Amino acid sequence: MSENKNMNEWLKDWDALQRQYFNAWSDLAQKAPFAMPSQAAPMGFAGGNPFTSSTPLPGFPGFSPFGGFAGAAAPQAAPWQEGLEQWMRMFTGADRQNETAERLIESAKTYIAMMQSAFGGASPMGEGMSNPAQAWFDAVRTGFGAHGGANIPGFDPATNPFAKAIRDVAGKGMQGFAELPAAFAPYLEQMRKEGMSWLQVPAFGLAREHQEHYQRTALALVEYQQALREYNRLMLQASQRGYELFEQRLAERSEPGRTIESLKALYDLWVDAAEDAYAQVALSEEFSKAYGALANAQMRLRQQIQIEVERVSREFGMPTRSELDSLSKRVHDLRRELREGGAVGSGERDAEVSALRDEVAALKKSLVQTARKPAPSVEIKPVAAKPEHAPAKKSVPAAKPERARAPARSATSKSRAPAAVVRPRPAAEAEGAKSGTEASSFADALAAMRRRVTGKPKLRSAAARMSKPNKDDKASRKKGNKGK
Amino acid sequence: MNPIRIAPQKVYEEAKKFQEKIAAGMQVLRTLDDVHYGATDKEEVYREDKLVLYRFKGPRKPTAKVPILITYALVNRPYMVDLQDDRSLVKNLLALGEDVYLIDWGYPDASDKHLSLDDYINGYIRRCVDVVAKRHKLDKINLLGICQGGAFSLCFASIYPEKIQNLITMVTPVDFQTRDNMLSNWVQHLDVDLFVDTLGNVPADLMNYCYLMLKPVRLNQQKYIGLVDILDDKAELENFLRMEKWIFDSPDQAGAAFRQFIKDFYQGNKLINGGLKIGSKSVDLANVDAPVLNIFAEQDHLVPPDASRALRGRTGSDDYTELAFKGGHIGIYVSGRAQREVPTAIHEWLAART
Repeated sequence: MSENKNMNEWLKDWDALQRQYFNAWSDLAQKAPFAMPSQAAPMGFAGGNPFTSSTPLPGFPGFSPFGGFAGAAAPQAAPWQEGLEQWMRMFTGADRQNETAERLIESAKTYIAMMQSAFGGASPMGEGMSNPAQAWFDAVRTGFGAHGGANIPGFDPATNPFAKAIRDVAGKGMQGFAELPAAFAPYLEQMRKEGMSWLQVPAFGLAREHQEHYQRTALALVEYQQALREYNRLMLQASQRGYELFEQRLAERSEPGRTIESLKALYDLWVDAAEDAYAQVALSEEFSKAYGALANAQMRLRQQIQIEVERVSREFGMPTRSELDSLSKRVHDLRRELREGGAVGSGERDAEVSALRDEVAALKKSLVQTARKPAPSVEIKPVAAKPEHAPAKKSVPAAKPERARAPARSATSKSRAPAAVVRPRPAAEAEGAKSGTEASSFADALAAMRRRVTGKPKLRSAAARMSKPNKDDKASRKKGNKGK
Repeated sequence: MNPIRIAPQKVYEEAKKFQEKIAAGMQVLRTLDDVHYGATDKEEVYREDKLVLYRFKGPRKPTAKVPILITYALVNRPYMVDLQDDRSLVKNLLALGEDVYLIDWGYPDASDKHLSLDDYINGYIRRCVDVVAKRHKLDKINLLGICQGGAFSLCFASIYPEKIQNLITMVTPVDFQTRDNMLSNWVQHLDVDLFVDTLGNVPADLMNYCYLMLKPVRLNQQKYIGLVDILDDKAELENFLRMEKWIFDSPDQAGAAFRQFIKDFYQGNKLINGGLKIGSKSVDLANVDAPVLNIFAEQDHLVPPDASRALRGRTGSDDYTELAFKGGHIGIYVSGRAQREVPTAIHEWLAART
């Protein structure tokens, strides 16, 4: 379109475009493979042309460009958004992906609002202005403001997450929470008149505890509302700062080659500005304090309400959250104790079990060694005759059987354990072994080992402790050792 | 000069196209089934309370001698590492011959509100490490900690250095008070005792609100406007929905663990300032003597790169490697670049230390 067209020609072009758009939209809706809900006919289908709204188009203050086609006034203030909502209504019956569709539509509405406003920005009205970008800036600002206030998610007090969290976080049971301010309105009004001193009035009599509780609750509510106001003030500040940054960055795009040539690019520029401005605020110490104060105030208020809920629950004989918490804490502690008792490397009991395991391992090793060396044959030989066998701790007993080492007394004395099961045999027996088969002496030795192992009360108790360790074991073991 | 040169015809065309895409997309949305996630077969090898330890099954026998145990964050579900067939860190590691285990923490409920970091680190993680080590007849295994799970892994490697062969941290905060850490700024004046005493477990929705408010316009609005561009592409739409599911499929946070994590990590910054104790055991990063591979994302809005870089020079290991990934906190798992770069980097780094 030429920039030299006069206003009338522009309006004719706009009208043609809008009609074209409307027709395309109608075609789409008619081709939809599902039924239109009768209560929500698509825009223009209810006998009203969506573009006959008398709402002034942004950028054309006080002027309705489509006035000439007005006909019956359509109810939609924002026909493009209404179109999106129509699609949403048709979609709502579907079982799946509703939430995504809702989020999509909510976001698209904002974007569409910006587009709608941008028609004003694209108008020739901007051409004569000292700052031509101002018309676009205003269009964007109007567009984002047209749908749901500031329309920056989280910036709008109505949708701020803290306010929503306090309503939603505990589910349906907390729905009354949202009505709390109304319930406390008379008290709050009184406080406004008399100042906070009302909450300091001493309570008396039978209901004094209740009165104090309600005073604390009212105080918590006041503090929460104050904190919320401060938080919202900073969010608004971030929003305003976002538009300032947007304006600055728009101005920077005046250079050739950097101009904005699509609505999407304009939108993205605004998003960048809004996010940067928000980050400046959200990273500030002031915001940190406001955020903490709001969260803390909300928790104090919630605690007051929980106290009241518990009181009522008790009166109805219902279990309370505190009781369940107490039980779960006990279960948790027992569970930990149980697990720590069974964990390797933790505590005295583990050390004891570990020592016993070592002892059993040593005994096994000793058995194996003995089996491999039916060395009893050595035992019958004089030490002097076989000096090469002199690790004589085993051969010496042949001469001095009475000095043979007893079975290991200490669970940790690994080095002694092998000796514990090696006992010298009488020379005659040894001779027999010498002249007999080796298998015979091996079997004898092994049988002797087994007898000794099974015949030793201490070792039996060790086996028992392995299967069921307890604190008394250590004491009884010590006692047993002393007895020897 | 006017910075905006958009003719009315262009505005009209954009608006028309936008609405047409929405109209077409709504019909595609109606035809989609519920999205599924998890691309790789896995077997349960250990279970305790709500925790399940899985071992992934690859197309062939692992060639790696030492298995990797992935320790994910508590605040999201761990299937992000195996989201779908063409977006799976696990699948790619298996293809390279690694043997991969994963801890799934489950969804804590009110009965778990007393679970502390002691329970998670000295309890659950330690027992999982022991289970994996025993299965492979090893004393040490490789530990891969992600995000908050990376912080846990650092604590674990400090307390039990004898159990860790190699340590890999991904998008892991170490310095919790860098200037660009928005989450940290928000909790500095939070009375976390009051918070947890009141809420018990911290609801997932509340956590998600906080994450969305890190980038409120992008995450609440721009993302969905961008979605319009792919509405007519069923495969892309399914990818988007799968990611949406992961983002909002968050477990509640066990109160006691949340309390200590905020106090000691965010408010006290004790991982680098010192004085951190998990249960009765002190944590000192200097005790971490295993080789360390620290992977972080350059555009991470949740864990700023500087928060991860802070690990350099703080461990007791003289074998420390950093890998800066060009992407964000989520892109490091699911982007095309991530599929090409991250598993290979991990595999090669481990191979050089076997």
